Amino acid sequence: MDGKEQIEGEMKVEFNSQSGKICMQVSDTNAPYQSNIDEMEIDPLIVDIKSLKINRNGSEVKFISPLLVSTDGEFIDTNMLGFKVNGETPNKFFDDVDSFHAHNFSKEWFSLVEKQRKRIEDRRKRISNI
Amino acid sequence: MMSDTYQYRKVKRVEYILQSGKIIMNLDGSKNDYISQADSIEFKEDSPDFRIIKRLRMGKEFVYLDFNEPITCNIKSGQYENVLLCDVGVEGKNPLLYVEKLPSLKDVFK
Repeated sequence: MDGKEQIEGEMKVEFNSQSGKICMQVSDTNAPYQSNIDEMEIDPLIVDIKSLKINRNGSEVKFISPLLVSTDGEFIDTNMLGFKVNGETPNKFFDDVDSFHAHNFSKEWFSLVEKQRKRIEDRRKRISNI
Repeated sequence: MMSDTYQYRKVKRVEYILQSGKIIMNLDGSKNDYISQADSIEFKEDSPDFRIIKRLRMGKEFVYLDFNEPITCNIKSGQYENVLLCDVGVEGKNPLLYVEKLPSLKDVFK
């Protein structure tokens, strides 16, 4: 795992094709964050589709996707399994959404990131003292 | 009064163009697609089972639906008919895929 800590969870997603607006929420207690995309693709064998509406005014899908977040204490990688944006896995998509970086996943998440950060800082100090 | 015509088809993939309402249903065992017009495609709310879908791709202008196995569609067509009703049997359940045709447009069978 390359020394990275991982957190697995679920992401609730709503996508409206007419507006191109995608709305994502990690948990009921956290505020959703939004972005705009041109195209999305999901694999229903991996994600859990809750509803799907299609008509001439646009299409709307609500689903829950497994969320995988990993950190080495400095960088955060985020991925949603079974979900693509504009034909690619959405790592870059998450990087481009500013509000996502300030997203409150959970207390455990911050605790883990802080723990990792301290570990890296301690390691750097030890190396610089040699 | 003209009697209804029923055509049982195995549909592998549905492509739907949102703005025009054009619907292209790719049929199993046939080189020809079934092309028609539809106002909407919807899964009956009280019995959705999305395991029948292999891949869902959505953009601002289109929707692609690929099915794990070709779904059996009982395509009703007649002079006064304006609904395509696809009966889909999955593991004993019977979710329905409704394709509502534009009333003003004539159905086209290939």
